[in-house]
Amino acid sequence: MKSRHAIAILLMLLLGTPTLAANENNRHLVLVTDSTTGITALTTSEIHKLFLGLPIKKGGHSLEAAINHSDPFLYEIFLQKIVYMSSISYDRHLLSNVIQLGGRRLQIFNNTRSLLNALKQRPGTVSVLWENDVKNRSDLTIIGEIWHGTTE
Amino acid sequence: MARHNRIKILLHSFAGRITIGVILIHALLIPFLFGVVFVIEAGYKQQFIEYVRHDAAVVAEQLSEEQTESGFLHHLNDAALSGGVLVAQLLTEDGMLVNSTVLDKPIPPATFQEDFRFGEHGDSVYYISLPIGTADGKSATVQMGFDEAPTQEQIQKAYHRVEILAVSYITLSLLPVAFLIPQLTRPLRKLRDTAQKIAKGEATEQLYVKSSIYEISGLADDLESMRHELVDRSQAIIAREGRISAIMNNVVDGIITIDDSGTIESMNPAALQIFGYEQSDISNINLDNLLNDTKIFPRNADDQIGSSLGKTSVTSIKTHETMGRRKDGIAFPIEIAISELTRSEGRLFIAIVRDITERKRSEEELKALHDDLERRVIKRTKELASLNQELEHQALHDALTELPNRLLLQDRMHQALLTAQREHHQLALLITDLDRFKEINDTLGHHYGDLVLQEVSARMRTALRGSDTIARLGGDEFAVLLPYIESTDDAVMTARKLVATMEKPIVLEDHSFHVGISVGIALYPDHGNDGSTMMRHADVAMYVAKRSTSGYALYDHLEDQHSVSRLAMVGELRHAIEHKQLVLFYQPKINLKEGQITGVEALVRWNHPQRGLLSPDEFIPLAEHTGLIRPLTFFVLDEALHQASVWKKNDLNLKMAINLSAHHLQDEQLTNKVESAMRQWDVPPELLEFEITESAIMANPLRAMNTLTQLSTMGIGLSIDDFGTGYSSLIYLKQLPVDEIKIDKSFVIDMMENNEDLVIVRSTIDLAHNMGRQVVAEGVESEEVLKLLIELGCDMAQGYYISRPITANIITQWLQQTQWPLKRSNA
Repeated sequence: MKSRHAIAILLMLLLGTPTLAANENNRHLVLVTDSTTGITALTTSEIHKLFLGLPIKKGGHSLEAAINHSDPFLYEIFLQKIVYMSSISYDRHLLSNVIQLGGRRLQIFNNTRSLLNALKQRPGTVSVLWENDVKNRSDLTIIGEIWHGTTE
Repeated sequence: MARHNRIKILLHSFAGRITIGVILIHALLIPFLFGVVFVIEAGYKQQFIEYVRHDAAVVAEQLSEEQTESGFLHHLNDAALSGGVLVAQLLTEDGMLVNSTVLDKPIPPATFQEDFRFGEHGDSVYYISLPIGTADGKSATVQMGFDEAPTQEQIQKAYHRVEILAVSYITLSLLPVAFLIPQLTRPLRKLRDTAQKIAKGEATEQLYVKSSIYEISGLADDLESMRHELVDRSQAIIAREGRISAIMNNVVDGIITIDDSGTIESMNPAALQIFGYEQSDISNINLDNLLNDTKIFPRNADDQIGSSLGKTSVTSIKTHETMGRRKDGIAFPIEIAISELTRSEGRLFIAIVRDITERKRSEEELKALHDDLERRVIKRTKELASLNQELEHQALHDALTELPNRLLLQDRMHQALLTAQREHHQLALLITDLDRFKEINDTLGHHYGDLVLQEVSARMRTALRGSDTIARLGGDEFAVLLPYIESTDDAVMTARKLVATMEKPIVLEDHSFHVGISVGIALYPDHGNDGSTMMRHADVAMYVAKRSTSGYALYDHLEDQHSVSRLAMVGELRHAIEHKQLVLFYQPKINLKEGQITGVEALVRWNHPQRGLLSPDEFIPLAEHTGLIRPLTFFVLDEALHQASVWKKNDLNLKMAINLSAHHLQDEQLTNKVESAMRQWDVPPELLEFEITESAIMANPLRAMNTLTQLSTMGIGLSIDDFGTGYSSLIYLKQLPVDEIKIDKSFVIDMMENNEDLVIVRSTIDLAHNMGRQVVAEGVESEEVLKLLIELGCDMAQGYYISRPITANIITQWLQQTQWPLKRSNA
């Protein structure tokens, strides 16, 4: 009798764990900028152009994209949802863009903390972050959601 | 276990190692190939994603410009018709789902699971969802599904090709290995087999390994060379062992090898014969059976002479004489030489044994002979030592007097001089010469001469100290060495003592001899500092002493210079004779009974250019000594006869007396020369007279007798000069054909005061008259003497009272003035 209870508890734990994990992995990828810019939203086209390195002005601010390279999965979502390219093509495009149009390459940040600092210190900078990373920060503003879903 | 060994052998074999090596190389290369495939796979996937995202974006762009459902459907169908699209649908804000009609079935939005990586959900479909803004301001989402299968097939093909390539590569690589390994291992195996054969001593078969691999063929050649060398060495070793064995079997000495425990390992036939054993006995005997004393073997490790741990070495050989024991128990002497051979397996003693029974017997006999010989040698050595001592004594001493001879004197002189030099004191050398010894020897014979010398040496000894040395130098010459004197007076005193010892006459066999002695003294360091100089200077002093009245003389360098200049004087004298530098003086002789002058004695003087007029005493001895007396005398004879001839022509018939020396009495040509001169100057023999001293006659009486007889026969007068100073036999004088005897002036001068001299003069006159001879007295220097001579009956006189020697020119004048007229001849 006791063994049946133990098996039942084990099965419940095994079946319950993925549900809990799925809830925990339900994530939102958002577009963020400094709160002082006053920007509330960007169109899909503006976002696309901004991250292709083209000049975008909004609310009197020249916007600048900052690439978040801190999370490979985040980066793949960014490539698919914003620039519609593979990583190789995107790198090649950014390089080609600089060569053809001048200016400087978009800044790439390999950790979240430095990216957040850049967003705070340079108003008009726009980047892609997990919502959890910016949720309780009043100095940053979420100006759009790129993707939401679960991650394994 | 057996399997484990096989694996181990395989791992350690050449083939195994090559195989493992090949596998290891491929284990590194093949992952590399698959790495390439991974890169290709990544490329495929990137290319696919690039296509998917770009295509989806294009579709989304197209759809964003449409407003109607038909328009949406049109674009979706266009998209669906492009290759690889499995799903193309639009989900509007309102929940409307527009699906491509060309595709079989739509995908419910609830199950749509978007992919972000190739093959993410294992469903071979890449789902992508892009938001679009439709023309009517509503939002929608385009959902597309792309087939991953073609790309997966491409990737699979790439893998498949790589697998084929890898397998082919491994196969193609292992085939040459499989071909090469036997080529390597086969000759190696043969080389190994051959090496094993060589190790077993089966090296006669020639090694032949055919291989195109240089290292293996080289190794085979080297092994063959080694095999050949081994064969040669083995043959050499066998030959050497044969020789050693032959030597061991034929050598006369016994050779035994013994191990550390004393067990006999081997004995050669000679050893077996020496100890009386058979070859079969060796295993049953040990060292104790062979030797009485086995302690000579350094059995203990501590006893070994040199440490040679871990290597073969031979220590030095020690030889012993000990007693061996034969099989029958009989002991016998042996000589045994033991050498120790240190090997890795332990020490080995090699004993070379020789039976020395015969040798010992011979040695004992030899020892007995040696002892006997030694006794004889000792005895003979003593005899020889005694003889040697005697010979040494004879070599260093004079046989007649037993005094040290010249050689010993020189040695003692040398020692004494060294001592004197070291201690800074004086020494003296005295050289003596006996006066008139030669006359004794010549007259009475050597027997008496020897007796005289013995007596003289005995007397001289009495005058000397024990530390003094008296030596006989030869003849009548003695030397006395005074090794320590305090002053010159000590030497002079000794000289006086020596002279005093000769004052008493020597009486021998009823004969009494009066022998004088002359002593010359040389002192160190005043007169010389070496033996030779001292001898020469003492000798010079001795000659000076002969002319002195004291009988001794101290060396004077002036006298010596005089002697040294004698050599120069000889040359000058010869020159003087040849150039008529000699002049004649004439001393008249008067007849005491008639009171008339009867003749003159010719006396020669040397008118020396530097030294003036020299008396005969200064050069006649030199002339006698050097042989110049002969030409000198002939010069005098010639001059005197010439003068006599002159006088004769002037009616002055003076008898010319000429002195002859002992040398002339030995000259056989004398009579011829005299005769020739008389004939030359026309002088009759009655006007010529020769005066000869006693000693000149006694030097060779027989010869003198002969010469004097010849002269007398010629009618020439003969006179004995200086009578009384020499030793002469009156009996013999009686036989001489002499006409007169001249008494030496030493007796005449002092006869007024000295009664002994007077007795001698009187006796001589009487004796001469008794013998029918006339007497001439020399040295008449006063009237009283002249009168006394007249009273004594002396016949003639000569001296300063009558006239000094004068030249021929003056003598004519003198004749006119003198109280003694010239006796005129009757004719």
